[in-house]
Amino acid sequence: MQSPPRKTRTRRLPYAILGGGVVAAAAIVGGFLAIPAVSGASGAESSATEELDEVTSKPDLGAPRDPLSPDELSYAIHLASTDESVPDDVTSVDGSDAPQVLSVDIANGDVDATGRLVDVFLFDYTSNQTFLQRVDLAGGSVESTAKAGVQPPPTPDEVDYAFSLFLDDAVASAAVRAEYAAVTGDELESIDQLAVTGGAFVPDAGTLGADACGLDRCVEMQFRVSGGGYLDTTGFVVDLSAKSVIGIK
Amino acid sequence: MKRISRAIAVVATAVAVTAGLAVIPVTSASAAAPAVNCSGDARIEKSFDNGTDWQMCWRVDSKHGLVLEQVAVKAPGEDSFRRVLDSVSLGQLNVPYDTGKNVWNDITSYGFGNQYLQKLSAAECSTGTLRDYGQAWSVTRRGVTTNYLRTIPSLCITDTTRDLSYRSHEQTWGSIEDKPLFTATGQAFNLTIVSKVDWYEYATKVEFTDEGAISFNLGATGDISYEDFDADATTGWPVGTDAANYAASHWHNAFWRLDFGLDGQSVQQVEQYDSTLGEQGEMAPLMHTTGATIAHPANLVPAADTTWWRVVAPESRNADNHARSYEFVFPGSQLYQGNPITQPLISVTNYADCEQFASNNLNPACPNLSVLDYVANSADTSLTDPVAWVNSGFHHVVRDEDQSPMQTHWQSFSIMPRDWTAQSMSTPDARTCINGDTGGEIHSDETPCEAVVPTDPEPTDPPATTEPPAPTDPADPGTEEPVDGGADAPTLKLSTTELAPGESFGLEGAGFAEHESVEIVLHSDPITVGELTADGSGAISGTLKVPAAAPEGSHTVVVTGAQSGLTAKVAVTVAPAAGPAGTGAGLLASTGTALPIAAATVALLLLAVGGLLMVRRRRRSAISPI
Repeated sequence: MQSPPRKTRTRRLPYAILGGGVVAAAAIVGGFLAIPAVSGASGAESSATEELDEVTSKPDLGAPRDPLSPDELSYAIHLASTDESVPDDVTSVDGSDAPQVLSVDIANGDVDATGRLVDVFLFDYTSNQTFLQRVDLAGGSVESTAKAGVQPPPTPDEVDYAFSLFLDDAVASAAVRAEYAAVTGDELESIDQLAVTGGAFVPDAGTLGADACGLDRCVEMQFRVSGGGYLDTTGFVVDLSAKSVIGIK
Repeated sequence: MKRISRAIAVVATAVAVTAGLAVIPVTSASAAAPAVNCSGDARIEKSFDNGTDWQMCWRVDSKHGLVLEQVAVKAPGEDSFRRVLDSVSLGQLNVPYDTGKNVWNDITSYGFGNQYLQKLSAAECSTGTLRDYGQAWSVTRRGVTTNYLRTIPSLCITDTTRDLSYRSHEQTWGSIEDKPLFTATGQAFNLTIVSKVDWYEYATKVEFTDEGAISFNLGATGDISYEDFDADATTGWPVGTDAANYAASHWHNAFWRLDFGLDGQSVQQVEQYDSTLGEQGEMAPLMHTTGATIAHPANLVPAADTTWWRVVAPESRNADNHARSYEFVFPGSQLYQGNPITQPLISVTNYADCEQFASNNLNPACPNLSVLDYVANSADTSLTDPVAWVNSGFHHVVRDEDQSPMQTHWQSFSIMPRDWTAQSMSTPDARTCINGDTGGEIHSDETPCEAVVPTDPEPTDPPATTEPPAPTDPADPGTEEPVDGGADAPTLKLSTTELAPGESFGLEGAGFAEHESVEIVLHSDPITVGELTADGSGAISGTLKVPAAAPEGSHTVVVTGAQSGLTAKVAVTVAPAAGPAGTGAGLLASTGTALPIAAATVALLLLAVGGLLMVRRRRRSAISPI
């Protein structure tokens, strides 16, 4: 059942403190979403990016299989994150006291179910567990399943953090820095200089050096130089659970 | 657009329309009409001109990408929708490289929604309409989570057409005379999104036709990754000048997850059919096609290229009492042998909530499992609620033409109805009477449609083999073929087949009963022309006058022996007295009661009858004289 919001997760920090992460993440997303000019393109517009209000009480609900409204989305995250199934010592990618929100979708279950069911994926960096919170927006209840070693795609937020870990590791990032400098003539200092994508890295039998990623949350990344090619990122992954860069082969 | 006109007498119109409405009989009882529990832009509804309707809900899942749910079709003449699929989406995109250096799982490691979903420009949906979907993401810093959303035009809904949806020309085989032609341009619509995962951009496209078929297509475009120019002559292909660099060959193993919900039935079965050569027949070996129910969850590999499968709902019967089903159609799918997961063409499992992905499953209740696990873990259960995991694989050996951007290459399969309806969903009105062995001829230029047993005054054993009909002689159109090919059938010959009201014409015939009265009638709306009496040898001869009331157009002169019942006939045209009419609107005149059209050997000289006689029926099905 719905539990009261936890103070630590709902506390508003000064806007300036939030700014860095938000801007960085927005830059990543913006990079992903850049649409090249198409001859004759016109008429198709995206909405402005909307920062959602925090919603802690039940909003108006759509039909069971309708897309989530902004309020439904926010309310689903609220219910999923504050459910008693989430451990008290939950942490997000930056180690702070909140679950990492991975994705929010209409529930991938019985399509004829009549409730307003939402699947919210969370990750707890403390226990290294993925949580699937099936939220019933109508009743305010959450059905939770959790498992370590399940790795949904990383969010832009996590990729942003992984990049920071990578760049801060002078040894691990030396080759990429050198390649960037050779290609552009500049020093690589910020994620803003690249378009970065990141995928969940799941080790297979043929990968050497990444056994930890069987349980830890690992990200493999691709770096694209603005207007040009990609840098060689095949030799490492970032272990977000251990906050380290792992060389792989 | 298609012509579709058919001229029929105004009187006959009401009959035809009535017949059209009665085309598809009400079918046996089935589950209640499924609800569609989405609204507004989330719902897709489409009505085709042939009367077929589709409805469904769509959404874009962060990982699956395009998800279609509660997919239902309403066949022409039916009262309500019947569910085909509870849901369908991609369940994995596995991309191993022939160099052995990379394997990507684009659905479970990246996803086709959210930041990977592409905003579509109006230009790339140039003939369709766009619908919006949201991209959502969250940022957590210092214990505070902020959520973001934006909507982008991302679904393109496009109408398509295909000529030669069907064709049937009622021309006597071997004759060059033009006869009524049935053909139509089929209609379809497709739903497309594009997802960009690194270098590749993938189009997910699902198409629905007016004949009930659904095709599932993954198109890959974008660009060759420059990192992948690391192959050699066997693991790649030289792209770029000479043979300096080999672009790596690789696979796009797309798994589609089809959750069947045929007609809302609680029991659905999967059947496999195989064809084997048997004993020698008279002209060729017999081939026996036999089916077997897949009783338990299984990984299916084709035994031969004639193997096929269907999902059937045994308790849902069409008007012919045949169980409704959907059959898989593969235009050619390549199966990657380097991974056990991609060796089956289809894996069938019972629906399970947590089984969402073909490999690396992300639901914590079935963590990291694959289709092989799903099958193995439920191998003892009865297969009654099938989910089909279809491996639509493509081995991409790169070409020079793949840059740049890469030409979109498609990998596809489809499902098509088998016995969903007693006849094709696009059956034109005039062919609605054709169902099973008609035992005779098709009379589509009659109204309403009739299938008629040929006149056979002296029944004889049917020939053991079917002979192709003898070619007619276009130079002698006035000579009628015997109705049933029998030597004793009466013959009929006119002095001319181009008649005019009030004009006289000569008539000669033979083969009737001695001294019997023979009536001469102009069809279709029967107009008695006259009566002759056969002589002692059964022959008739005389001069008759075309009734002044005879309408212009194509008709048939039918002579019938009053005692013997023997008939003979000759197709004629009635033109204005001033001479043959111009080409006009190209309309068929009314013809009346059922007569074997195959017997008519005279070209349908088309006369202008006027718009009043044009009846616009199904807009897309055409019967038109050619």
